[in-house]
Amino acid sequence: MMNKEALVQVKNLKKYYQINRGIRQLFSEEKIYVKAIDDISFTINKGEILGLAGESGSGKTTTGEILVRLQDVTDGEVIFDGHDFMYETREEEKEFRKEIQMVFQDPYETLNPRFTIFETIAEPLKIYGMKDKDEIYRRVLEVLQIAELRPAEQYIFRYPHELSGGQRQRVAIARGIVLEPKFLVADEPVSMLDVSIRADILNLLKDLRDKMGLTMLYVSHDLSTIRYLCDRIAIMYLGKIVEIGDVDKVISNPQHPYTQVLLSSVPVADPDYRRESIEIDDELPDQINLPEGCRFEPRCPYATEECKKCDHTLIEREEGQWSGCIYSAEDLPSGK
Amino acid sequence: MNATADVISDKKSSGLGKNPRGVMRLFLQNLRRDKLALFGVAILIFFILVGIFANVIAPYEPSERHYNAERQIRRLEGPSSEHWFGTTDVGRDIFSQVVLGTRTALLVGILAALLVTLVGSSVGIISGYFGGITDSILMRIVDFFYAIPFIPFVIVLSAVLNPSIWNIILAVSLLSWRTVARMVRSQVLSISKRPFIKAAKVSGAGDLRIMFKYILPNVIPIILLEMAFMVNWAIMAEASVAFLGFGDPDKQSWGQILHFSFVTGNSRNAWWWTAAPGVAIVLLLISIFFVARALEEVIDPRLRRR
Amino acid sequence: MSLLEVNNLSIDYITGEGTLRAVDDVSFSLEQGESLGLVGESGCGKTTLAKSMMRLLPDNGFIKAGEIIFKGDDIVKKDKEGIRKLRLRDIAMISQSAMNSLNPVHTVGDQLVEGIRAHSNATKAEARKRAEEVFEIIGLEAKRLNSYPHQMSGGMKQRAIIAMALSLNPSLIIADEPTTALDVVVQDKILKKITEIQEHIKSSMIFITHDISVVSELCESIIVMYAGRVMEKAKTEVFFKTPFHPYSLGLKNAFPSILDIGEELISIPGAPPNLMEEQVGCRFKARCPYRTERCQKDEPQLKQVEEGHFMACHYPERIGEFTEKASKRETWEAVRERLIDEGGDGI
Repeated sequence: MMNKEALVQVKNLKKYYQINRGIRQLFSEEKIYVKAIDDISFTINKGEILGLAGESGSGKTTTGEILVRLQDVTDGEVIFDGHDFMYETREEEKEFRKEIQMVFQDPYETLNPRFTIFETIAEPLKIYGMKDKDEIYRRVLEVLQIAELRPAEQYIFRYPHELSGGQRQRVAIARGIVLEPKFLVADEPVSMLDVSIRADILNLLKDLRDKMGLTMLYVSHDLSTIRYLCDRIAIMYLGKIVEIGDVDKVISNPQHPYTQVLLSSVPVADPDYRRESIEIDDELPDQINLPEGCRFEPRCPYATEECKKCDHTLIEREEGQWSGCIYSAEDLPSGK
Repeated sequence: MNATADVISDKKSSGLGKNPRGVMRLFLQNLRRDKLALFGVAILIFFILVGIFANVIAPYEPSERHYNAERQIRRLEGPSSEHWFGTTDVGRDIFSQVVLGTRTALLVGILAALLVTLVGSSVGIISGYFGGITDSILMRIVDFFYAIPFIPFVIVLSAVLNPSIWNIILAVSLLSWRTVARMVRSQVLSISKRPFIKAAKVSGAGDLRIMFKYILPNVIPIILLEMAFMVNWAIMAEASVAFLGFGDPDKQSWGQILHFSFVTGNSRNAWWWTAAPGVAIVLLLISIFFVARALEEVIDPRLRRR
Repeated sequence: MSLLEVNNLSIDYITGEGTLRAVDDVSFSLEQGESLGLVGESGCGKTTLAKSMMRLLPDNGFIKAGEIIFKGDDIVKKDKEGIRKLRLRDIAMISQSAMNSLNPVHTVGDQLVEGIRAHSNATKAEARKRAEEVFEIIGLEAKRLNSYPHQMSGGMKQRAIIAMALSLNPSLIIADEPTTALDVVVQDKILKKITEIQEHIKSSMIFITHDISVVSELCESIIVMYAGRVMEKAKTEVFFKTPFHPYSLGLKNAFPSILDIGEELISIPGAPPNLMEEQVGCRFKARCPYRTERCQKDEPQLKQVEEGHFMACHYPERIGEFTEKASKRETWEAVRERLIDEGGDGI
């Protein structure tokens, strides 16, 4: 792991949203924030797929959107390919934007209904100044083939509504790679697809990494697909990364209690398998008044007084596996 | 070399034809079913033709006084073969006035609607797309215009400037772009949250490109619809203003015809004088309304009948 | 006698473009206390089937043929009043979007009490007491009855809906993707609650989902639907060990599991047929790797292959061969190539 070169480095990233509480706010100095992302750091190495998991409200989608610059940062640094996001000119920004693309969750909504498949995929090329029609046509055909929409000619002049969900997601992926980016953010790319075709999209993403060396952030709530696709996994909870590490290690030997709870909640298609059951309160705390110390403490079955002082510093518990819990998995206290 | 390009443009045009979202196509399809809309289209075409060829159709000068064989003014004569819609108290031909009034009504309606939709949708798109401070400022301006009552505003405007249809168009436009702006803004708000707009941003598209290539085509249907309603509203506004006597004295207008019938005290005894412009106004408004309603049905899937 | 017997049920939707047969000649039965999982891809007819049992089909949906015998009476033939009596008291439905069906201007408790009183002759106080009981059972504090829907989280609202559905001890619970909108931790807890209650009040359950792993944990038997027809029906433990139908075999390959490492996932190439068109032969023929001439022409009927294990395929004797080949990538790649050759959408 050490000798690998980092492509994306996120350092102490914060994203706060100010809450508008109506007219009272006009007369009050106090501002209220939702801390969607609260001081997270991670690295994605070249050619690696990092899975970002968590429940809704964990900040995983916001993290993805910040990396493709759909959202601004409140504080912190994002260093892409040795280049700091924050301090760049407009031209630099456009140039670097090209390197980072995204595939979205809803294949029905992510394509402009008024564009043909050709127009959809040609659009980024045109934006980045490609004018030669033959060249554009060739390139569009080429990426459609990479995305395994064969024969490409058959799809090129259709409209999105004439395609199936899986085909649309392939078009979205084709659009994502047409500019030959170095980094792709995939936000729940298979969650809206039927089970029988999900594997195709996952395998396609895998191929893009294996054959083109594309680095990826795969955002998903589905731990099974993360295990299938990703090299490493980061688990988010209420704006914090609670655990990060090699995907197999984290899933087979989770260190953080939240990771354990999450894993034990995943249903398994094996009638003989009995899942371990961990009793916890299923309500998330109020995102505005977050608990002091560890954010999982109010729900955690192992919580102690010490946990109120926890600041989510990641500790390496196993090689390449970091946990934000002050206890290791072996000596979790018996709790409240 | 050029072969591929040809293929592209060739296939593209055939592909566009297949796009079922084509509002016009759906609209025409609907006409077959919706007899009221068909009626509306027919009447509207009739009025437009009358408006265009008003000079040819009108048999007389509208202000010409007509005399009978005894060299007497044909005062308040009912409909006859010479004067289809009768005459006024000073012997003017009402048919000619109504025909020329059609032109004024359509001119005001269409020009005002164009101006209104142009301003309103620009403001709506900018406001809805950028949001934040821009949105707040623009929407406060909209609120301000909502607070101005129409009739007094026009009366003051014609007093300050002079009564002409251009000022009426100006007044109508000044006070109705706000509605369009609001409608378009709310539509843009929901469209700009859709993932394909995010996807366009990630692809590197700038604000102008997104507004024109992505958002505008998706709000055009609603703009068209608003425009149809605005035509109606402008025609009605012009008629009311002219009826109150603040109209353009140089232009024939339906409202003005009614104004004279009323101020001369003949609105009760000479029914033809009020009936002709009255029926014209109602017919034109109804026809546009039916067309707009059919358009709305095509645009708003919830109204679409299966 | 079974609690519920569905016989040769066919349901059509009349649309602007023509008639769509969403459910075609479906038969199954459900015993008292049994829980049945109904799985399939979107558009396979599972939700339509569920809605028909409550006679909640949209205006353009019609039961064309067949009967739904519930406690000896045919639901298809019942009039409006008969259906109204049946709903909630005998059959309760928990649907995917149900939590949005709570009225925002009334407290949850009032709505619950209202529902109980509309379907039974309980007094206000009795209904209130019952409401408190079911809230307790479902894991909500009784004081939550005084909350308005906007004061509750998605998980709580879904619980409240479930409490409402179960308040009159229905003999049949129809759960249509009841937790898909919820996070995995909440989903897990609510599913456990539902089964707990179902066992407690000894009602039967039809559980509709696209997630076969949920069925494996919750249900005793499973029905796999495809393009409006039942492809396979079996006891859950049997199905998950030895699925028979080529479609089920394909699904098994496509499904990622948190337990498996390194096993390659394989999709089923192609897409379900367009049900607006008339169907000839097997519905799965376009995507089936083992298709023969016969499959093109004859529609296979659901037949018992082993004790309690039914399948709609012409070749029950070749199951061993099918199972072996199904785990190989080439088998399915060949289907993709075939689809492309045939000019269809191979993807």
